[in-house]
Amino acid sequence: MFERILRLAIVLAVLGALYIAFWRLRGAARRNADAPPPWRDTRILVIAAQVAAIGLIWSAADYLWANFRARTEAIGLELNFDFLDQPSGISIADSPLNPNAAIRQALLTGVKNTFLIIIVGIPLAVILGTLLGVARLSTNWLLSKIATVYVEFFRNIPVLLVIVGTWTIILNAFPPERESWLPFGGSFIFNNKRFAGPSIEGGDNFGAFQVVVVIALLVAAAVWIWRSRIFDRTGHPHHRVLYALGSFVAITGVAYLVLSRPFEVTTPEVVDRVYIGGLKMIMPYAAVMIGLVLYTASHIAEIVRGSILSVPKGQVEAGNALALTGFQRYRFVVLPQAFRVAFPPLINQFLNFTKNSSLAFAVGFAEITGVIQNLFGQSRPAPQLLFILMITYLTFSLVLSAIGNLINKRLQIVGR
Amino acid sequence: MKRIRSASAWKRTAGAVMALGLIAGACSSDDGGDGGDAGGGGGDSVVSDDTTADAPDETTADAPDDTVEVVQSSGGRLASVQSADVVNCGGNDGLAGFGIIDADGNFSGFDIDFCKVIAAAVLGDAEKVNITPLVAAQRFEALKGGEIDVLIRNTTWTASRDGAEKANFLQTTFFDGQGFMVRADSGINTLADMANTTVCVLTGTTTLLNLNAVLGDQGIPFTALEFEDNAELQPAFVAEQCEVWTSDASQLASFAEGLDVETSILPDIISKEPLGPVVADGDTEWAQVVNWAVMATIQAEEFGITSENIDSFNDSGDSGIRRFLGLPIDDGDGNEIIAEVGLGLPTDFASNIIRQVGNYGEIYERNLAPLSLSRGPNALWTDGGLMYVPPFR
Amino acid sequence: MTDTPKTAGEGVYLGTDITLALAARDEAPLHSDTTPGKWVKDNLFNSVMNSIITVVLGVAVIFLLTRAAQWVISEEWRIIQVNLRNFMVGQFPRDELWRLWWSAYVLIVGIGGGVGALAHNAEDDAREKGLEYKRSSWLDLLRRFWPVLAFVALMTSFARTWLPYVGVLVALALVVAARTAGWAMPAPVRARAVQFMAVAIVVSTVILAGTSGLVAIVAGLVAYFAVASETSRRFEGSDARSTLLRQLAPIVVGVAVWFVLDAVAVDGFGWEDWGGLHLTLFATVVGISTGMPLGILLAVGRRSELPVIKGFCVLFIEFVRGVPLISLLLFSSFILPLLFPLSVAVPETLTRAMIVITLFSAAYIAEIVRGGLQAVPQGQTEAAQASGMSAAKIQRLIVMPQALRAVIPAMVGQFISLLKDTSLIATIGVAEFFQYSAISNAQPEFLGKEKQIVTYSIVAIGYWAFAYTMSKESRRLEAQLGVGER
Repeated sequence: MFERILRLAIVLAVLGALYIAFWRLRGAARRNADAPPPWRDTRILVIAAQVAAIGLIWSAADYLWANFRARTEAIGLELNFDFLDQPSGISIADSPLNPNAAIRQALLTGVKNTFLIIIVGIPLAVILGTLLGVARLSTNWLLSKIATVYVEFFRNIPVLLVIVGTWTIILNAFPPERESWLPFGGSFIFNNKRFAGPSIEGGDNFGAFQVVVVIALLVAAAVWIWRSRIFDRTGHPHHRVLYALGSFVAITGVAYLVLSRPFEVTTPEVVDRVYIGGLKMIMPYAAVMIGLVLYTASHIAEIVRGSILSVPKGQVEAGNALALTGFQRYRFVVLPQAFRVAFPPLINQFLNFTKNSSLAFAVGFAEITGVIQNLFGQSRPAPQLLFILMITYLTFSLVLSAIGNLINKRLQIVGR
Repeated sequence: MKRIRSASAWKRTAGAVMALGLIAGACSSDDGGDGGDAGGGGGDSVVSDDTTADAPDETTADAPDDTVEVVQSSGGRLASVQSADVVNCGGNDGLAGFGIIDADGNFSGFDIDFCKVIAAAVLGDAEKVNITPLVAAQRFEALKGGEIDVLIRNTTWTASRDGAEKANFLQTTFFDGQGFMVRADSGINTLADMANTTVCVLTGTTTLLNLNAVLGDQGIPFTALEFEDNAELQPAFVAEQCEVWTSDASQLASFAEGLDVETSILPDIISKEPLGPVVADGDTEWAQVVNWAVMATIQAEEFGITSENIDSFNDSGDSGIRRFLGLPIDDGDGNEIIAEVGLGLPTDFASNIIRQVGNYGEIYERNLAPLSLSRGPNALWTDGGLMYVPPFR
Repeated sequence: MTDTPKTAGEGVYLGTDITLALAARDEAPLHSDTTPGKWVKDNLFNSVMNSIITVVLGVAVIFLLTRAAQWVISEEWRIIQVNLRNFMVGQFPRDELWRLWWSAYVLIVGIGGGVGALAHNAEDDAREKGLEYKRSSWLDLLRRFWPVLAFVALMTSFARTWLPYVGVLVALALVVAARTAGWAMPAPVRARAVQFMAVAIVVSTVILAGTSGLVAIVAGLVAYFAVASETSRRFEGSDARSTLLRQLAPIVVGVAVWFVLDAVAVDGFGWEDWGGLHLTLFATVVGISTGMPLGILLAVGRRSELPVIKGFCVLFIEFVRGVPLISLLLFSSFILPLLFPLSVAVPETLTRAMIVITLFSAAYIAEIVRGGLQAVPQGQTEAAQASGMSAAKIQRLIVMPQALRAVIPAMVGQFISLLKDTSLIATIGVAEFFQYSAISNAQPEFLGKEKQIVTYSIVAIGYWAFAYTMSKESRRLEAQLGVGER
């Protein structure tokens, strides 16, 4: 009842405001003979159109909301987030999540897993895509043809098929756990269940060592800037990579000795199906990542190729005239210009990568979409879950494009 | 000059849009949010107006049920099925034996046959079915939304589904239990042996919840790999990505039959999985129709009536059978009368079912016997099984 | 840093290589008269690094090709043979397959004839303007569409009866005949090529789906536009009678077609009975063609100066583009049913999925169109304003045609991604092309036989054939329209 009165009041208020505005403007028009009448006045028409648009959107939303409420009440769906505290009944591979833990924890684990795909996958896709894009431009006919075939194949099939296909191929190409493939004397373990490799394990002074590493990174950055400044001022070779790396290694090396071996390298080992030590990942994760990287790299390769081709030929010739070597021409003339062109579409690909990671559930990797699909199956309220799902991806998208735009802005300023 | 000219140009559109907006806004204030009725011409506006108008105020627990009844009574599922002349069933499109699209593009399987049973009973023609393939997680949404008339998709009857999902489970057509399948050479013989194994399971099912609950209670650590579809799960098991496959024992048996590897099914059955047709809450008439149609197949098997021999019962002297098949019965005074049980079904519905689809045993033989599933608990009660239905009187 | 190129390091190699390639890009003669030996030396062994790469890759390629050939020969392809119809048309009733064939034939005649006529029109147009026009030869067409033809041939080879062979051959013959006939038509007939195509599409749909509600409405709309274009050509005068005829006749005919078709109620099979590749292609075409008008509206709205309209369009576009399609499809199966009034029956899964796909493609098309609108020089609008055109006319006659022309290649790109994205409707239970991979592997005959790779390969080839053809077309259009060259 209250809502009805409120709605009526709003409509009446809007109508009243319009009425008053109309007559006041008309009066003004009469006083000022040059001014157009209100129904020909752009100012009032702009306002009127917007009021109408608000009215349309609002009444459509209102209509849908009324339907939604009627339907949800008919099936007894409660529109609150209390269910987030109930036990999830979900267990996620290689996650300490207890099935009795609250749903919000399961969701957080899902978000974490999505993040894990993105953070590892995007750099890999960029590397592979760049190599492929460059390979397409190679003077080696065979190399460029192979890259072309690769790109044209992966660009033109659905990403879901790539993921599921990658998963199937890994499943059959790798041995089962009991016949694991152990390259490098068992430092790595490959089977169709998990991939594992060496990792470091913190010892007594690990905390202190981590602090030292951070300090060493800062020092290295400072050295880098210092060498660059010297180069800019004097033109002497800067060797900033060498200097920075050297200072980093020196500091951490001394710290390692002083802190008496703060960490040790552990290699993985399977004892009675349990993986001890090392870094492990479940195969579905690897499959999703490889599939997404293979797919996205084919798109990135096209961007890279196009951006390199977009560098005017005169630039390369100018580099030639300056007697730059092939590598120098590439590093200092072609690449910076190409990168500036390539960056905006690259951000787009990162966003696509993020969105495509939602297909991981198809091969059994429990990222956020998978967890939410699971909760759907347990009759948890769908509207709220879908809301959470969309908000999660919107946040990922927004953060990524914000970072991208920031970098892009810097790139463009540098360019001018 | 330029400004005014362009303004007059879109004056008309702006005016029209504004008028539309205001009308729409005003309408939604007049009839309580159901603005669409003004534009859409309104069907049975009395029902929808009441429910929508009062919707925001009703927060009491009994409100939903009232609404459902208001809606249902306005049409009734039975009437709407009869007028549409087709039964909409939710089914499975990828589970051998229960519901699958075969090479000819037809749905076939145990669950699909029960959909046909309902069509034969209600419409007199077993082919008047429309199967909507549903993903596990979405099946109850389809039922609640009224998209399907009945859900027959190897769906387990549980309290929370009866309650929270507003579903109404009917006569169980298949008694199942959750089992575990392993490779014959895996050395896993009991649940305890499953420590640290990887277990493949379908997501969005009760199986996953049971697995987490039972193994969790017993303190057995395991890794669950969840799949959307058996299409991915089954190769994962074959390639030994997971040592254990847990699902309904019937499904495991049917898969074991097809697999090239030697498997064994653990003796532990960790749950009861009664599978049967489901309808939406709030329409007793339709629920009874579906229920009795399904039960008729079991009764027919008990009577020994099959699709082959049904004509030989035309002269049967057993009044129970005559009543069941809708044959006329002598009332003692020489009058031939046909028994009417008042379910809203034609009197010869059982006869239609048996002729067109067959009795329970035939349906079972046709779909599940090829997968080497023995009757087990699904035998008739007279044979020591659980298939027992109320009398058709 | 100052290493010479030959002393290794991949970055160094690539740097040199790229620079060489860039330098060589415009210098290479189009038709080289080099000997094979010289070609090999120039293109495969032009440096130490390249020689090593050539040898390593060559061995790898030969190895992979041999393995692939072995697999193709030794593999059992029965699962495709048995499920051929499933993959192509899904659960479409088998005794009604003639509908599919005939609707395809009508479509071929319509599109083929229309394209032939349009090509001839373009030639006339070019000649009038004194430009050169090169008609695509049959060989050109073969070169452009070979992936699709190869895919059709591959699928036909799996057929176990002779009927599909005949059907495909008839279709090919019809393509040839229709295009030739379309070209040969007299100019007044050719001028109506688009109407002819639209009518053919409607007839083809009616054969397939009957004249149930939606088809009748679409047919009415098509009739409206067809008649409108005809009357605007015939009655050009500004007197009352001409104006009345121009405005009224299309409406009358459109409504008449709609009512008549609706009343006739010819039987057919709506899209809930469709499946397989047929459904995939259909969903893509519908997604693009319904998304287009909505997308254009959104793009114009986004450029609007009115904050409310602009804000709404921006919100909608950015929201849809910010979430994955799978979440929108989940929306279609969980939330969309809740938005219908209680008195209305909820439409089935595919219809809801199509609603969402339309909104999805509209948001992406909006961004494409916005790019095109931005590319139209401001001077165009100003010139039109100076000549006294109204704002609506400027948009419709000056800005939009230029913007849309510029975005055709990008639109084809969107078509390709939508084609690939429709594979996701499998996850909400619609049996389209990709889903039949799972379904056929679950059939008792193939259960546990591990034929996933077989079905995946066929599905991949199917998507690839269409998407690759379209992407080549998009590049061709780009070159033709000169869009890429700024």
